[in-house]
Amino acid sequence: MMKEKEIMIGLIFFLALFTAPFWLNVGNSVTAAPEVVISAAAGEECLFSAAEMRERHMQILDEWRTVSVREGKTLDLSAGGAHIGFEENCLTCHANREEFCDACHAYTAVNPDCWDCHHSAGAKS
Amino acid sequence: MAKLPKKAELTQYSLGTAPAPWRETKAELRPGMYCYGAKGKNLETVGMPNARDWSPAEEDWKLPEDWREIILAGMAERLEKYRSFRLFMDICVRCGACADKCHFYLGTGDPKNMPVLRAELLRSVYRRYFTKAGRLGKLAGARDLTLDVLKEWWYYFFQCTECRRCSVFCPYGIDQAEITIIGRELLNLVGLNTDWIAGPVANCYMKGNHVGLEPQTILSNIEFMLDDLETITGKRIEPTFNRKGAEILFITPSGDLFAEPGIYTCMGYFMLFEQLGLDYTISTYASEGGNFGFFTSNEMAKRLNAKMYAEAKRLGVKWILGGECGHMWRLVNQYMDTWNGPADFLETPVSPVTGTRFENARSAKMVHIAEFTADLMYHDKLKLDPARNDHLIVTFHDSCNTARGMGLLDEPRYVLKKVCNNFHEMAEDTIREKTLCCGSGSGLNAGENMELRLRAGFPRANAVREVKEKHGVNVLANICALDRASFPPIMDYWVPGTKVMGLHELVGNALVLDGEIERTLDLRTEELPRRDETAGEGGEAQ
Amino acid sequence: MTFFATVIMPYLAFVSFLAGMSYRVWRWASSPVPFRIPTTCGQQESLPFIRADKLENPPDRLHAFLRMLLEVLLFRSLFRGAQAEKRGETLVFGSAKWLWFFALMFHWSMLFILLRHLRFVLQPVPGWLLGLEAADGFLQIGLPVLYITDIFFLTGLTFLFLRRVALPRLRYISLPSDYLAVLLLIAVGLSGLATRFIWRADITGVKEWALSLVTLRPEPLAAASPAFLTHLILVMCLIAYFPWSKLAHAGGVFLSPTRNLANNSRARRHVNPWNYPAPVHSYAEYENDFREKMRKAGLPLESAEKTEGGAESAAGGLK
Repeated sequence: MMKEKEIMIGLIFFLALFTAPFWLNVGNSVTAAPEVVISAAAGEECLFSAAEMRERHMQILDEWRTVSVREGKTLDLSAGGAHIGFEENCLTCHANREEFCDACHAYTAVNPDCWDCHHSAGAKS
Repeated sequence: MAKLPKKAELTQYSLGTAPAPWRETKAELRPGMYCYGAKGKNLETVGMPNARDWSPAEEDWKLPEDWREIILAGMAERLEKYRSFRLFMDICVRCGACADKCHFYLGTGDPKNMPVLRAELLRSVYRRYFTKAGRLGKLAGARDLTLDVLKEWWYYFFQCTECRRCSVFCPYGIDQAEITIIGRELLNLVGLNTDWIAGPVANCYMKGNHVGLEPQTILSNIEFMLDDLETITGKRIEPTFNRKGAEILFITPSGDLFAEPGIYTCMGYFMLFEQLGLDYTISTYASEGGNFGFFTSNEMAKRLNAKMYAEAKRLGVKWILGGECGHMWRLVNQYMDTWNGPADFLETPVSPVTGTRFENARSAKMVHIAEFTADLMYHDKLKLDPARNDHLIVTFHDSCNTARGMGLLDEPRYVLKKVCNNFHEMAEDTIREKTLCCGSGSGLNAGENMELRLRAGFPRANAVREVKEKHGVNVLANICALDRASFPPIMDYWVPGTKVMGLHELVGNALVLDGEIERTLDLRTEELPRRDETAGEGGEAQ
Repeated sequence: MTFFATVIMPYLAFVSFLAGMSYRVWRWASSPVPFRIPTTCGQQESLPFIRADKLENPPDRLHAFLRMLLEVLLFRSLFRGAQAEKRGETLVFGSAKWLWFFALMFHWSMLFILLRHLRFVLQPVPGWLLGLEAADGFLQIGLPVLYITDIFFLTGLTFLFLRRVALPRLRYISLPSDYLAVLLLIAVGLSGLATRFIWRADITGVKEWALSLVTLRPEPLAAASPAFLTHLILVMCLIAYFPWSKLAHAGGVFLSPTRNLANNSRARRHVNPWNYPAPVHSYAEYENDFREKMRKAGLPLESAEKTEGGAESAAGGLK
């Protein structure tokens, strides 16, 4: 009966839709996250550990923005009195925006608005 | 009929719940709320199982030893036969959208009359015996099928008029009517019908109509109507019966042939057909439009319905015209062709007066009289004097079945507005697809359950009272024989002074027949009010 | 252990979901639709001068399909939401669209949230998904950005939960599984928010793991945090439980015969596959019963004498 045919079509549609991640990835060999490349001269210490940075960098930068732009402070006491400065402090080492920032952001579909205001590291170098 | 309770008593309820969880409350069968048990002889006539005399009031319902196995096997069978049943057992999320939509709940406040709970009465048993989770018992909302549960089913499945109002509001379209229909089928497997249903079914099977009119009685009843029509119009109308070779077979519910106010509607039909010179005939064999079999089981409904096509075939008519009736039209629209078709011996209905082909009925070959009459009026084929209905202030009650099982909403309104000048709709939430049931449908219009009917009719009466207070409405027009039978006592009780009239009674009043005498009487042989002078027709008084 | 939680269980849950839903739908579909029983919620198509309401009372399959879309995408029936109240000796009907509003809010949010999660299993992430994320986060509150659908999701669910516990009628009809479903969904939502805002997950690692699953080269997520594991396990419970619970209404609604059929059974014959002949009382038998009375009343007769008019059967699909 026609009705049953419609149900079969619906069911196949449902299965196709929900297994889309599987068949859309057929032949996709690049699944690993991009390697993080640090372009600057080694030796200088980062303000936080790599693990902490990976987890919280956006929150640290967000705090920095608030305390520097809104409160006019220039030192982050929680980071051992480090000088607050995204461009001056971070981007000097991590100058390769494409490899260092964008690669992961693109991988996880994160679209930060840092570059709306700041010069990108890539442009600077 | 027992003495009626006072209004104050009947309105003393709240739309709440009960203190104890519903699964742990035994149904208390209150007199006035249920019908007598089906008599053995009536079940025997049509070969239904467990035919015996019994009384719901007694402890022993005289069930077969293995009633539980019979019911469970019946459920299993119907789960395989009806997708609706299986689906509606599974997908309810108990959102409660239906809870306050049922006129039985609105009129009794009994929580088991919420459609969702009435369905759970059956669902809880389904879960217990037909799902894996049912082993968890109470936690999964499952319960054993005990005698108390069976009695509860009987009590509450005969407190549902299969009106489908809940289904309109349900996000998945779960239709309590469907569940009630199956529930009643299951009950009938062990002989648990009511006599108000079983009696008409037996009558209809043997004699052709619910009220049990034998052929000669049909003729004499109609004779009385024709006498009255002669007095009213000065014309003698002579319909034919069981005539072969007529163009149209006319079938109407037998209530229209039997009692007031249905007969006035029937007189309206006769006047209309006479004026048109319609080539039609009435059958004494297929003399029932309604179908109480539908309130018994699918098979019984099909067996009673079969007479319509069989008689149309025997008489060699071209198509069938159907009178005003509610559940008759749900069945004609949604079941008849499937049960007893294809009606390939009939032709696509064509109005002999206007030439309109009723394409929407091209397979089932049966046309509703409101469609037929609306088409006549649209083509201006009738001379009408709506002023004859000027003393009537009319509101229109949509029958559940024609509204929600067909969608015949505007045809009757079209006709109504042509034949009366004072028409007012009831509140929006109570008309059209949201219409409130009369409360007596699906075989509940007995006398012994009058309290139930008054309660279930209260929401509708409440809406009528509103327009009565606002517009002075004094007529409840309708297109259903059950409405005509059931509303008069309900209106007398809740909204006294409201007459109940079929659509074609109003048509008959307004219809100007060729060669009629000056009309001074309406179809109830009551005097028409004097025309005022400005209408230019003064001096009519006798 | 990690392997079990982050590889075996996800696959099992997913398969249970797909197989379960397919089984349920197949089971429903295996029972036929003997009668064409749409609940008509508007004017039928009959005469040309009477305007038919084709979406509420579909005359054909196209309109039945559109009606279903309206039901599934906009919750048409819930939108009718009316409420009856008893005031003294009268009943008052009023509009009540709250259930519709919050139910729609919750369901649409869930769809968006589900789609947003596709970023973990698609590489590269397609543009429409980025657009969706941007739109969803348009408020730009907080970092990471707070998605409006997360708020809607929890708001909708909270409403659904609260009305279930607060309204006596709802409490009365509710089963334990009704609370379970809504609480499970709330837990999924809250744990998801936690992995975003409180105990943040390393989403780069999560995506590597998720991609490994969908490319069928599964690798366990070694560095899964307790918060993330909680979210993951709750989600797996949800999808594994989904088909076997009332949540299966998501598939069932499409099969509902009162909604997915055209109201045209007078124009096109609907066939019942199990229709069978049933005994009827034939005209011949009727005439035998009443022959004398009919003769006296002047009714035409088929036969002057009693006939062997045996029992006949109503036409059936078997003929």
